[in-house]
Amino acid sequence: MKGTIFNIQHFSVHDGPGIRTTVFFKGCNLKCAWCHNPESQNATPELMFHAKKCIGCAACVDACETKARQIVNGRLTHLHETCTDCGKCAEICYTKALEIIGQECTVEDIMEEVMKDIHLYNNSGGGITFSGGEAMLQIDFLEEVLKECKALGIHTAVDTAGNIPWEYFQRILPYTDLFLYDLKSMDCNLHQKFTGVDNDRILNNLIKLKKISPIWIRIPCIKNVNDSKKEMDAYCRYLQHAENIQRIELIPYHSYGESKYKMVGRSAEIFAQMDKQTSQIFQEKLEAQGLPVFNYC
Amino acid sequence: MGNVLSYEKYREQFYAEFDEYYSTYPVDVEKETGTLDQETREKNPCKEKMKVYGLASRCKVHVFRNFPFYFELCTGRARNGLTASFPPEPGIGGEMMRENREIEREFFAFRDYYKDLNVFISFFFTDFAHHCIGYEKVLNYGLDGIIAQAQKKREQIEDADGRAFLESAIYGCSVLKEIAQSFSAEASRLADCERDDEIRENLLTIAETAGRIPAMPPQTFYEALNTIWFMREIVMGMEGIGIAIIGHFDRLLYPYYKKDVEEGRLTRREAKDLLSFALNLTDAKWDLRNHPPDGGANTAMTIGGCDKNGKLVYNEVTQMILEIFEEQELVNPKLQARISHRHPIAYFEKLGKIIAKGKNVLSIFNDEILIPANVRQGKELADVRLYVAGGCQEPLLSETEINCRAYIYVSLPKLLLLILGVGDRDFWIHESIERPDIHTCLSYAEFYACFVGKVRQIMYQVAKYFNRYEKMWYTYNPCPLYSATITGCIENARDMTQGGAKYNTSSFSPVGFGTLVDSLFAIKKAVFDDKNMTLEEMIKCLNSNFSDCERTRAFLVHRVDKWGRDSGEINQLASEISEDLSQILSGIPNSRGGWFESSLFTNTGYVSLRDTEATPDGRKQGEILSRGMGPSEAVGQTNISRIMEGLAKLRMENYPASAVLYLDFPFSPNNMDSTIFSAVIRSFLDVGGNVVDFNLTDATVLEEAQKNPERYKNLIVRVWGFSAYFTSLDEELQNEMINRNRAH
Repeated sequence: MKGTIFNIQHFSVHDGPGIRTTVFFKGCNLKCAWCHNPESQNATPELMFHAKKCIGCAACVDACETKARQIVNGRLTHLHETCTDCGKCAEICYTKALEIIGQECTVEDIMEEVMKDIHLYNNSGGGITFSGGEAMLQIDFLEEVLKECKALGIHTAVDTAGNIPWEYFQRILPYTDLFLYDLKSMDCNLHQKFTGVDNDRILNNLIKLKKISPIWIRIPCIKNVNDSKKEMDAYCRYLQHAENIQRIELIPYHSYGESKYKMVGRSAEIFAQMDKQTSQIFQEKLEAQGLPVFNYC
Repeated sequence: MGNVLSYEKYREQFYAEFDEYYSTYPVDVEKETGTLDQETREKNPCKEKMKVYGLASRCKVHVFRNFPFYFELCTGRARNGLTASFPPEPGIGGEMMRENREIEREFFAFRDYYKDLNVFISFFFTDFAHHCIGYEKVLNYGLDGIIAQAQKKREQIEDADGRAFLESAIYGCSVLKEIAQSFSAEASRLADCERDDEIRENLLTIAETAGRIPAMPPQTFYEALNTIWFMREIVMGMEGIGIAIIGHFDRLLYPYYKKDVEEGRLTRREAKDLLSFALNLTDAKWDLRNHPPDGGANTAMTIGGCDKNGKLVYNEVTQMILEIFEEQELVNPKLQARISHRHPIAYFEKLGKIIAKGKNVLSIFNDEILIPANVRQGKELADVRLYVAGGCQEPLLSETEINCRAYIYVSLPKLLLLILGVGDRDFWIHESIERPDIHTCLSYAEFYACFVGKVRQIMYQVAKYFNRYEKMWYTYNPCPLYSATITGCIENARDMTQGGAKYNTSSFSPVGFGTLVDSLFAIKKAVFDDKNMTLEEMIKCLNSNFSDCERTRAFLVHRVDKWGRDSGEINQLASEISEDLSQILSGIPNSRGGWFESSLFTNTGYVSLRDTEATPDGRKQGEILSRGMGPSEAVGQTNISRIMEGLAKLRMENYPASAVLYLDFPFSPNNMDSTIFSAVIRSFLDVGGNVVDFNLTDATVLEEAQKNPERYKNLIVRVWGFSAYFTSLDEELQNEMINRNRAH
C-alpha cells in the first residue's frame, strides 16, 4: 500500500508534545484562503518552481516534452496549462529549483525515516505527527502507518481539519494518542466563504471526538475572519466543559505561504494576523472557561 | 562566616572598582622590579626563570575593597591577558620570551609558507593557553607541602638540571607565599583606614586568610575558592602561560562546603554569594565590550562528571553554579558540563534551561565516550576520571596531564586539494614528498587510499616541524612553578615543557571535516560512480573557482548528498573517513615523550582558512569551512536530527582529544520549552556523541543588534570555543554568526 507524502519534517517542536517528526500527507478537501502550504492541497504530485534557486541554465527547456518550459523573450517561463507535472524537468534541474511535490511512499519508507529520531522522541516525550493536507483523506494508508507506530510504542498525533466521515475517526482511534483539531471559524457562512466548505460535519465530529480522545484545538487567528466578538464567544461556548481538550493553540497567520503560491502557479490572497491585543482578549475569554490556552500570536 | 559580602548589594560597586583599576592596565612595572639582564643570562633556563620569580616578589599587590578574594599581582600584565601567542604578553611573565625574539621571527617565517597556502594556521609553536593548575594538589598540601616534596626530591638527586628545576620550583612557591603575606599586610593597612563596617570586615578576612593561605592547605569553602583564583591569576602572571581552566569546581569545592555548613560556619546563601563573586571575576576584570579579545577570555570551568573513584558529581555546589548561570548574564567562565546516563534528570533539566534562556556559554562533555577514549590511550582510569576541559573544548586530565591541543589548525579540505594538485604551487618540492599521480586511479577506493597515504605523510612532516620548535619550549619559557603543581614534574625532577608531567599529549585541530566528507563524496559519486565528469574536469572547475561552470557547481551543491543534510551512503563514507583520520592524527610522537591524539575540534581555523581554494562539494574559495565534526554550512539546510543520525554512525571513542558538534538553534531565547534542550542533550548521550556546544540565536534579532548595537549590549553568542557580546564582534564575525544561523 502506498500513500502520497509531500514532506517529512524532523525536529518539529510545534506539532504536539516534545520533539516530533511531522509527516505531511498530500491532498486536502478544504481550500483555506490563507493556507500556507498551497502545495499540499492537490492530491496528486505537482511541479513546484523555486525562482530564487534558478540559475537560468535552461536545462529544463531541453528536457521538457510538452513545451511547458520555454524561453520567451530571453526569459525562462513556465506554461502551467501545458505542464503535465511529468517531472522530467525536475529530474535534470541542477539546483533543484524545479521540484515535484508529492511522492508515493510505502509504510516501510515512512517508518524507516521516522524511526531515525527515536532517541529524540523518547527523551522529550515526543513522537510522530501526521499532518497535511488532510492526512485522514488517505485513511487506509494512515491507518497502516499508525498501527505500525503503535506497535513500536511511539506516541502518535493526527492533525486534522475534521471534514471527513466519522467512520474514519473510528478506524484510527485505537492507534491515535492525540488529535490536533483545526477550527477555522465557528460561523457556518464564514467557514464556507474562506475554506470552501461549511463546518457542520467538522463540529459534529468534534462533539463526538471530545468525548473519547485527547484533543488539542488549533485556531488560526486571522484578522477580519475570526476575530469578531461573535466568533470568539462562539468558540468559548462551543469549547467549554470538555475535559479531553488539553489545550487550545492560537496560531498566528503568517505570509510565508505567499511565495509558495507563485511556485505552484497560483495567486495568493493576502490576510493579516489578528491584532496582538485581540488575541489576548481571545485568550482571556477562553481561559475564563477554564481552558488552557497557548497563545503564539 | 557572618561577613560575606552580599553579591546583589555589591555587584555594581565591584564591577566599577574593577573597571577603574584595570583601565590603567598594562602598567609599566620595570622601575619597581627591574628587568632581566641579557648579559648575565643563566645557562640553565629554570635558573633564569628564578630571576623572573624574583621580579614578581617586588611587584605590588592590589586588594579590592568590594571583592572577597585576593588575587591581583601587578606584574605589568595586560587587562585582557590571553598569553596564548606571539608576541609575548607585557609584564614580567613575558620577560624570558622577550629575551629570545629570534624564535618568534623564525617560527613565523616557517609558518607563513603554510599559512599562505592555507595548509594550516598557527599562532604559537605549542599550546600556550589551555592549561590547568594542579589545584587539588595545592588544596590538599598547600604550598608548604609542595615545597617539602620538592626539597625531599632535591636531596635525592645529583643531576644538575633536575636540581635547578626543583630549586626554581621551590623558590617560585616561596615567592607565592611572600605575595600572600603582602596581601595580608595590604588588606590590614586598608582595613585600618576603612570606615564602612562591612568592607572593613571583608578586608580583615582577607588579611587574616592571606596570612595562612595558600601556604597551608585551605580549610573552608572561602579559603579553597580563594586558593583557586590566587593560583590561577598569579601563576599566570608570573609564568606568562595561559591557565585557561579554573578546575572541576563542584568536585573540588563540595567537601569544603559540606563541612562548613555542617559545622555552622556558612549558609547556602553565603556560599552562593561567594560563588557569584568568583564566577564574575573574569567578566569584571576583562574589557569584553570595547576591546574584545579574538579568542575569548579563556576562563573555563568544569562541573558534573565523576570523581576519581567513579562516584557521580552532582551536588549542592553544582546546583548553585547552575542557578548562577541561569540567573545572571555571564560571558565567562565557559560552563563545561560533564554528563552520563547516571546523572539525575534534574541535572539535564537545569542544563536545558540554561540553553533555552539563550545563555550560550555551555558545552556538554560525554563521560561515557571521553573516559574510555582516554583510557584506551594508556592513561589510568582514576586519572582520566578527573578530566576537565580547556579554554574551548580541549579535554585535559587535571593534576596529571600537560597537553597541547589547540595550536595547529589544519585545513583538511586543503590536504585533499594538494593531492588533486589544486593550489599546490611548489608544495611537494618544498616538502620533498613525491607528488601523487592520482590520474592513474581507476576507482574511488584507489583514489582514497592514495589520499590517506599522502595525508599521513604530510601530517607526520608537520608534526616533526612543530616538535623541533617545541623542543625549544624549555629554553624559551620553562614553568617550574606551574610544573610543581602537576603530578610527575617533581617526581621526575623535570619541567612540564620537557615532559615532566605524568602524561604529555598533543593534538592537531583539523578544520573542515564536513567539507572534506562532502568533497570526497562528490569525487566518489560524480567522478567515479556516476561518471558525471572526469577527474580532470573536476580539477579544472576547482582551479577556476567554478567560473564558467556554474551548472556543475549547482549540480555538486544540490544533487550530490551532503553530510548532515542527507543520509544513507554519505554517512557510511563519513564514518570511514572519521575512522581513518583518527588513526592518521594519533600516535605521532611529540617532543615531550608523549604522543598526538586525534581530535575534531575547530576554533578559529574555519574562518581564517576560508581562502582554501574551491572544493569538490561546490564550495567556492572564500566560503568558510565546516566546524568541528559538524556539517558544512556552505551548502544549505541541515537538521539536528540528520546530524544526530550521522553522528550515531561515527565511533567517537576514537577521539580522546574531543570531536565537537557545534549546534546552532535558530530559535528565540525564552520562547522554547526547555525540555526540548534537555532531550537533545540526552539524545546526544544516547547516540554516543563526544562534545556538543550550544548556541541559541535568532537571526532576525542578530540583524537587529547589528543595526542598533546600543539596544543589544548584553546579547551573548557562542562564537566557537568561546562566547562574546555579539555587538563587540567585528562585522565579518557578526555576519558569519547570522549566516550560520540561517543555515539551519
